[in-house]
Amino acid sequence: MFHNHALSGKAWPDSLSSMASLTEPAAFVLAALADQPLHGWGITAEVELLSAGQVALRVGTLYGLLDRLTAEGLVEPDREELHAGRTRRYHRLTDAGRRALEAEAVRQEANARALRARLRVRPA
Amino acid sequence: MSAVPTLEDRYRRLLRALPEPARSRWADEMTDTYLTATCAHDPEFAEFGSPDLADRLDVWGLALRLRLGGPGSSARASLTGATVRWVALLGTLAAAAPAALAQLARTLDPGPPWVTGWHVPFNTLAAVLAVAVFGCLVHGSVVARATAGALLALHLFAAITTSAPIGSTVAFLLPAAVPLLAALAVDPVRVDRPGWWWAGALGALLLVGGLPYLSLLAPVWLTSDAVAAVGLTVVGAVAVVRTAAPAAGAVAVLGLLTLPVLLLPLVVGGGPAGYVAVQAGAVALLAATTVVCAVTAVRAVRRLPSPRT
Repeated sequence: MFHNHALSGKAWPDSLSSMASLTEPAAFVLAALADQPLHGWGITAEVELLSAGQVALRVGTLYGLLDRLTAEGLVEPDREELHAGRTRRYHRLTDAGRRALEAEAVRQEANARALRARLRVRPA
Repeated sequence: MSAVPTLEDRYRRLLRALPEPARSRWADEMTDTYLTATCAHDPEFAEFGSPDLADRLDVWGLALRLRLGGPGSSARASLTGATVRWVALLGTLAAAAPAALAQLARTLDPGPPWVTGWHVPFNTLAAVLAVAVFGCLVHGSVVARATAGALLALHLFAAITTSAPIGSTVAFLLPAAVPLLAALAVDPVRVDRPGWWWAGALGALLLVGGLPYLSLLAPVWLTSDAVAAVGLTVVGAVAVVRTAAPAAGAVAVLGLLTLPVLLLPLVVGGGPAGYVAVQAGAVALLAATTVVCAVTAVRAVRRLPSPRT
């Protein structure tokens, strides 16, 4: 009935994930995981660093986002560790996630070029 | 002496709002993330601190999304989410069709010049918003929530400022407000076949405009509420035959909300015998539809695995 993959339990096909534009928090989460698997707090801290404090992920938002990115096949579980008696789950970027992030970077670069080109035009 | 709850206890209590299976999956790690984030610069906060309002709203927001079929939720939550979408779509369609028809009729025949007052532009705005909310829901527009919120505010304003008795105000407000609340709760997602929904809207317009017109030819007291009962019965019958549980569930919810509106004139009493008979017939029809649709929806939910298994 609806375009909701959660209803059918299916992940998006790879080609679709890489084509769809990412929200800003999703793009930063994928970027945070680009070089190493991280757990929840690690992702939050890395996103804050990468965005120069512009994106502050709340914990509920982060885990909702991780569920969505996992369902879309962009992120997958890596390993679990115990820390102070509590489980820490590490998440890593999948190949589809890397392609989606690359596509998002290309899209943002194209937008930035278009905006700079407009700025170079002097009013008559 | 009972131990004083620590910040960890308080976060764990807050995270009980999450439904299964997400709670089992995330509660432990979310607690760790919260504690690491909040106690990094203030270790004493772990002893006496408490989750702030923003954390609470954030967790409740996640709990709502998970209960309405967001990624990571159970099969039952997916069905609940689909039902809430149907409530939003069918409810706004039921509101938009008569509102649009009334505006169309007013454009063709503006009526006597003394029909003025603030309610005229109010009704026009409400009709435009009702059609806009329906269109936004069908196409999954990002402004669906904003338009639904605006129309809800308009209905609440009308309900607060009316001089009508509270009972009838609530009875009329609920079928209008609940679909809008449903529209606020679900993420905007484009339906599979928007054309079918617009065709359904056209059908509803013809039903709303056509049945009362026919009643003029063969005098029957067909009120707009009786037409709504007929419309819900048609949708409910299709949903039950096709065992479309979310649609059946939505018809049951909307039937429950519409029944008080139909019952109100009967409770107040008065009116010609023909009118009372039609209204009573509509109540019986809608009550039967509501029960059959509710049974279909509940059976479908019971067939799904429990989130805890």
